[in-house]
Amino acid sequence: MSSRNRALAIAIQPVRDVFTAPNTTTDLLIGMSNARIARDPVTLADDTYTGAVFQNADQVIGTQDSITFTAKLKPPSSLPALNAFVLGRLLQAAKFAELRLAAAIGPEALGAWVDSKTPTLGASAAGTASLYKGYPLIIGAAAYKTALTAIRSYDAAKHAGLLEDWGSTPATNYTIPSFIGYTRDITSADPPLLSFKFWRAGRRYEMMNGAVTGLRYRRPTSTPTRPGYPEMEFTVSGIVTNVVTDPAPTIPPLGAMPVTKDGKEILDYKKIGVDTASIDFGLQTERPPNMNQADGADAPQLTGGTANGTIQQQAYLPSYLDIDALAAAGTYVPYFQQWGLSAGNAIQVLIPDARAGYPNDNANGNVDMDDVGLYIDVIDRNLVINFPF
Amino acid sequence: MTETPTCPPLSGAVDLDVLHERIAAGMLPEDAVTEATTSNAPQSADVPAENVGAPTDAADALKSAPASEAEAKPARTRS
Repeated sequence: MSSRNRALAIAIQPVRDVFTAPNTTTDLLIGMSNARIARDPVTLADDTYTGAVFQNADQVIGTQDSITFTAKLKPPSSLPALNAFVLGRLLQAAKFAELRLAAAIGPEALGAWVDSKTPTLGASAAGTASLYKGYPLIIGAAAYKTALTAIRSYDAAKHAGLLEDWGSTPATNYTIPSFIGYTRDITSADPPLLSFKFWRAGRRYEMMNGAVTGLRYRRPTSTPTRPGYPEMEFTVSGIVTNVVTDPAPTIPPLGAMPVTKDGKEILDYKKIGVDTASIDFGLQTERPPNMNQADGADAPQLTGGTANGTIQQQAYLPSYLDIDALAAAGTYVPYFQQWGLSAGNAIQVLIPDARAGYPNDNANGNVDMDDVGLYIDVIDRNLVINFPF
Repeated sequence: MTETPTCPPLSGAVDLDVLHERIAAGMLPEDAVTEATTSNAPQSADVPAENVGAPTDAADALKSAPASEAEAKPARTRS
């Protein structure tokens, strides 16, 4: 059977050690590729004497199960209910909070601008500091890709700092659109566990107690010579409880998908040309020992993580963007990616306060590029993915 | 001196419509966040059936949303 005969369905598992069967249609992950399941045997060396010069082979006492796969970063087809977006379930298990707004705020008139980076929201907005941090925002009536931006900071005086310099201070309307968003959750609450059905060439593996143990975001800029998809690379670990004969279900096609061009990419309020941007979430998990469990350990627990980004950007003159000075000063600067041309088919990735590393000469091609590290601290809503509608 | 109301870190699955409604009604941001949030943290399979759904620790207790409006905490404002 073809190695392309693969599919993955995912459900949030409310109870530890109890498999929650994902729906074979509604819980399918759309846009998955490069999927592999690993059942690594756990072995113990048998050091007992045999009366011969040889030793017995290792004993096989269990297995460590994991699935690696790549998911295309594609918005849901419409604003999903809480916990319903399958890719979002994976992000939640990777310790993201899911934020859902159905009732847009506005359109209504902006107040006065503090400066060209900071408009003041109007009467419908609440004066609660940080409330709208990380939210998408539409300013004015220009083309969607231009009018759409995002909020870096928000204070009780309704000043909404942007992740970009608007370049002017227009008296116009604003809207906070409906959206589903994901922000790294910095509280100590446990993330959800997941249950999986993974189909491979006529077989179906059922896995429970699934935790995301590896997550990397990679977004190439789609150029005429090197088009590319934005993707998230996942590794999930859990316990395979069942393997049965079952052909893979049909997975809907990707359909219209926002392409990583004709968007915005901005670091420290300067537009930058980037080849590839990536974020490694550096997740650390561990399974606590527990002999009451069938395989001697509890479900994986998230025990740590450090998020770091890397951007391969054009090497700019210091007069435009002085990365060396930013690295030396260690100041927080906003980093903003946005692509897609219409509501429901756009994506934003925000790091409101990143610290830049020193640029590393990337002399691999004909264009002079720098590799720039982004250091992402543990601040509320400091790592955000938005799907505005 | 009046303390500036500040939204606490968001966690779990947050219904921002509920959060905004509660804040507009004068509820403190932390209470509004609690009411707007569904915790997806897994329950232990060892919890007796009668306790399933009940808070298992202080953190879960903070996140347990009331089942209905009638159970919602009365709105409070800082003076």
